[in-house]
Amino acid sequence: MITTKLPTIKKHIDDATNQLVVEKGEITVGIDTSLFAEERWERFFPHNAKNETLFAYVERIQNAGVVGGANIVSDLKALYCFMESDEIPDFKSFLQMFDLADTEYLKALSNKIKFVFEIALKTATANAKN
Amino acid sequence: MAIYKRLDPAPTDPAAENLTVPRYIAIAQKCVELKIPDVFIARSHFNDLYVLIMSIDIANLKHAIRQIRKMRSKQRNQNVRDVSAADAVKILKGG
Repeated sequence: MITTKLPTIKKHIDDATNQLVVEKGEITVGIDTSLFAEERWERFFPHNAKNETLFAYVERIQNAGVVGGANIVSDLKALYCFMESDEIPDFKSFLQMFDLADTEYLKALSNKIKFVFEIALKTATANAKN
Repeated sequence: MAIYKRLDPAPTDPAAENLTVPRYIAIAQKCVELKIPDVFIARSHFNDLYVLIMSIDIANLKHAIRQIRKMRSKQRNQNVRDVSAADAVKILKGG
């Protein structure tokens, strides 16, 4: 299994100084591209799974050519299915680990996800169309 | 709206509308049927596993079609045998 690190952001108010404290961190996740990724896709996102497989979805999202963070939620959905981690109980908790309002951070996250998808698609000998 | 349409198109597969058994279950069922080891299922890429199942299915279907053809020709008292390209040329030339 391939492991990678994802950038995370935690924000809290420091009562002593009355200031917003932003903590940048990283989580290590394992990328699982087996049949179990498809199982998670069908379990968590049945509406999307009804139309296509996870890998066909990722390939289409990659080829859609939408730049920036416009499709970040779609990306995170697919990424969540690829991930194998006991630390993330559900999709909501997973989304809460990121700050989607920070443009610069969003760009870095988007690039990281794009890279993960490229790796996930390249590790197959065959692609979805052959 | 245009982005939404690009990211969430209408299903192209008409069978998907009436999908009663989840795709994952259907693939797992095939893995059991074809006796694919658990380790292989867990370690191989989904696309590779999918292609493997389809190629085995195609090979099995080809074999079944060949068997049916043989059976039918036997019923008609015809002897059908597979020939090599060289043999085919020889027969066509009348050799």
